[in-house]
Amino acid sequence: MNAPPEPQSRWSRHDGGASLLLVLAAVFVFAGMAAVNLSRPTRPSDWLGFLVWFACMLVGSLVLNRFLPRRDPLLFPLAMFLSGWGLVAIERLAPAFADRQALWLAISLIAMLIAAAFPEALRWLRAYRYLLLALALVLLLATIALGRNPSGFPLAPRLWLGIGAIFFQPSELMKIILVAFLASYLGEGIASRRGDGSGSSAFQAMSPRLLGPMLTMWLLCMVILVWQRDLGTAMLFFVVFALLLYLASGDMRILVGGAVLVLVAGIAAYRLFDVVQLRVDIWLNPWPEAADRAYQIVQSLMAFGAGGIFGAGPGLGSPTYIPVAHSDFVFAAVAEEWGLLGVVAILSCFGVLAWRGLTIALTHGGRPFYKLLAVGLTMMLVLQAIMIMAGVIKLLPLTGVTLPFISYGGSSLLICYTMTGILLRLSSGAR
Amino acid sequence: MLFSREIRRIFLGILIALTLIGLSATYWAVAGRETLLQREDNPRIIEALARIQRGSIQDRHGQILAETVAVGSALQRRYPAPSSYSIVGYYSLRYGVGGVEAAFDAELAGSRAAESPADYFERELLRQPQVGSDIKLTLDAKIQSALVSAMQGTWGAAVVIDAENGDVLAMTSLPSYDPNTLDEDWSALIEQAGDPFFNRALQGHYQLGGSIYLLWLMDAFQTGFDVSARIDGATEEIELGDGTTVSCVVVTEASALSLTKAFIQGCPLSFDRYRQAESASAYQELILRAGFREPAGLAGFAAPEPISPPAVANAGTDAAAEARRQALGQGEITTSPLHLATLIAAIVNEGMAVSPQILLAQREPKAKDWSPNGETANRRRIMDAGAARALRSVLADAWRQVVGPPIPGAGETGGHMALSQAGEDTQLWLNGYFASTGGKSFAFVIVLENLRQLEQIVAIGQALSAALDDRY
Repeated sequence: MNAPPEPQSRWSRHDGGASLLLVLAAVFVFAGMAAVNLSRPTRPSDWLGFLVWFACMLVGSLVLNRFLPRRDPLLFPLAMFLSGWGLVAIERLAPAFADRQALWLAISLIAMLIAAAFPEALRWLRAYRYLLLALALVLLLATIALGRNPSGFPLAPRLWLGIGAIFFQPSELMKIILVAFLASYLGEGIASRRGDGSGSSAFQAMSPRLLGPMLTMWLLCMVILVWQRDLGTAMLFFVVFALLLYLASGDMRILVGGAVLVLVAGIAAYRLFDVVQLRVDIWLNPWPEAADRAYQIVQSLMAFGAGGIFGAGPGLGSPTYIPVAHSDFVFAAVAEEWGLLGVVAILSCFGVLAWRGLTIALTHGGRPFYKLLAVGLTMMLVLQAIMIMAGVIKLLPLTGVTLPFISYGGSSLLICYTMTGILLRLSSGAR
Repeated sequence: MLFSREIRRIFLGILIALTLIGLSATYWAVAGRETLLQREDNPRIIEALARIQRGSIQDRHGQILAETVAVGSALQRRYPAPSSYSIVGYYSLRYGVGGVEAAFDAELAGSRAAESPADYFERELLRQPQVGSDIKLTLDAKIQSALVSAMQGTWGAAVVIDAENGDVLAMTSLPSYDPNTLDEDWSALIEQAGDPFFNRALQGHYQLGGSIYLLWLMDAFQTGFDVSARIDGATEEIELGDGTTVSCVVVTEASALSLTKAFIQGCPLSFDRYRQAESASAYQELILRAGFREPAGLAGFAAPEPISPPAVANAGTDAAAEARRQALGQGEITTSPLHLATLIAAIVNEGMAVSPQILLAQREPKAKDWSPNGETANRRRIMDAGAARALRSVLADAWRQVVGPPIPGAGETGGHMALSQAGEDTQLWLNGYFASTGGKSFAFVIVLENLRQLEQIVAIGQALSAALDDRY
């Protein structure tokens, strides 16, 4: 059997569109930062975040043009735009964290450039999938014994590993490694059988011998995440797993079964975990406990109301009434100060991100690993955004995950940029 | 192409999810907006209130009674005139508004029912702080100060109104509180005896007591009754049948008194006899004519509770006792000092009662000129001019005989004292008027609770009279 043809990038070297988008993003981030700084007493150092962002944009653009000229023209401007908006929001909501986030942005950009420009990265992800997954599992397990929380609150979940003042969340790393593992496994097993013309149906393709090791590894991740009470991430992994399985098999019953399992798991979690019970209760009816347990979600909804269509203006609203608004609830903070227009802009950005990521997957004709990897990474980014955005607006129970690129959080930003780097690499043809 | 159908389905699902989030956000930002923003637990309401540059409250001569000043980056409400605390009230982010601050809250806060496009642009798009109007009250800080100084240490209320136009020149209720330290003092104040937040001058429901003799005397003048005819035993106490005994305010050796003399000394027996000689409906007609069935309030202030119609009295002794209680001001009819002041003002004003008012003028933000209060005072005749003049003359005699001689060269002062009782409590009244040499006339009512010492209320009356004479 002949090997499938190497995919060629569908994008030309011409980079004018991407540059224009980056200029527009720079204007937007500068204007936002200026508005925030004008609304309060300010120091020159308050511009550090913008300068780091601007430097990242220039360096990123130059390096990508040099090493990856034929790439998706929207992904990098989109990531820079969202993370720039995030920096503005953090400068507004929690200025003390803005410099640290800017530092993480610089680190994240380097990670993205390595992932994008280093051709061996994809091969390693595929070739050393067991080793990488085992390493990630060890790190995840280590959080049970050595886990810390950067806030220092004794009751806060200990999902981070820390060295000195630097913290990292292993479950974030797991997002890439697990998707790569699933893509690799499903690509080599089920999907390739589906596409080889042997006539085996989807369910025939999913033999226990094939699925067993994969399910075991996946289940292990889930158990650890549930053990850690990182239920939002566990839910995200489950949905992405179901989607990749559906993609590989083409069988809708997997999605239906997945939805039933989510429901059953949700009911079980409601009975087993106080935190789930709380989140479901305040999702169903937050108003009686608006001053107590549902304070955060009620303040979030009030932020949407206060923002209206046009928003209060950067630095002029009161989003700090939402506890830790710079993290999980940054979407509500944006809604208050940028209004419905800002909300639609962010939704559109994630819509475009989904479109570009899935389009990259479609360009990889008969290469299931790349296809599944592109879809998996895109889904990790977009579904996480959907989960938290739907949570802060009371469309779904809260899940406690970050809004990709925008929320404060070094690990999250690093992994989002790394995934973007891999998607950029995939968009270039991924030899 | 491999997976293309599934990828398109996934993309469609993503688009649907994002659309649902957008629709949900639209609901909260547009349709559910007002409901969310008006919730009492919305901290943004307090924050918005804290940003309001509330207008100042001034007396009729421009003296500041309340103003908003910047303290650092915050705004603070200050009250520089202690004598006006009880009427000006308070403005607190924690405890709301009271007094004049509550009555004219919309004007002071700059909340307008109809907002111009320019206002909307400033508020919604430029996020300029809301600026309120200044208001000028009819109060005269000097009169207010003299009155409150004289009343220090007592519980009670006092009102002074311009008899011709109903302007409230002074109004106080004691005990009071310091609105500058309201947030700190609140928990102690709400426990404090005497309820300092209760505006007795405006909202008090006092028994009329001997003040009702004004109405009987008015009736006597209007019906041509011989008010000089003496009635024996006029200084005797009267048992009202409910354990309450009423007696003269001023006791003299003479026991046979005319109706006017009984009025001057505040003796009840003569008026009980007069009532018995009148028709059964005379009392109700008097009460209706004097407007005591309708609560007297001030525009903007919460209207006092309406006075319920009298219960149908049972036949027999109970009915007779009830009729006596009513006739001597101890029945179901109650009054506030402000209400009684409008009756006194009618006596001074040739029988014409004028509804009281406290707002003199208003100045819009950024405006230089004051706009006079457009509301015209209601006028209503409650007695003929002859009866009013006769009553005024009796009041002038009463002042001379009970309070003291008028100040030489000063205007004319009149007034009488009365007692009323509510259970164990006794109230002492001084209802009077002052007509200045400049042609201005004022009515005043002072009531002190749990006090029978005439000297103190006389001193207050004299101090007020001197202040009015000095000013007008």
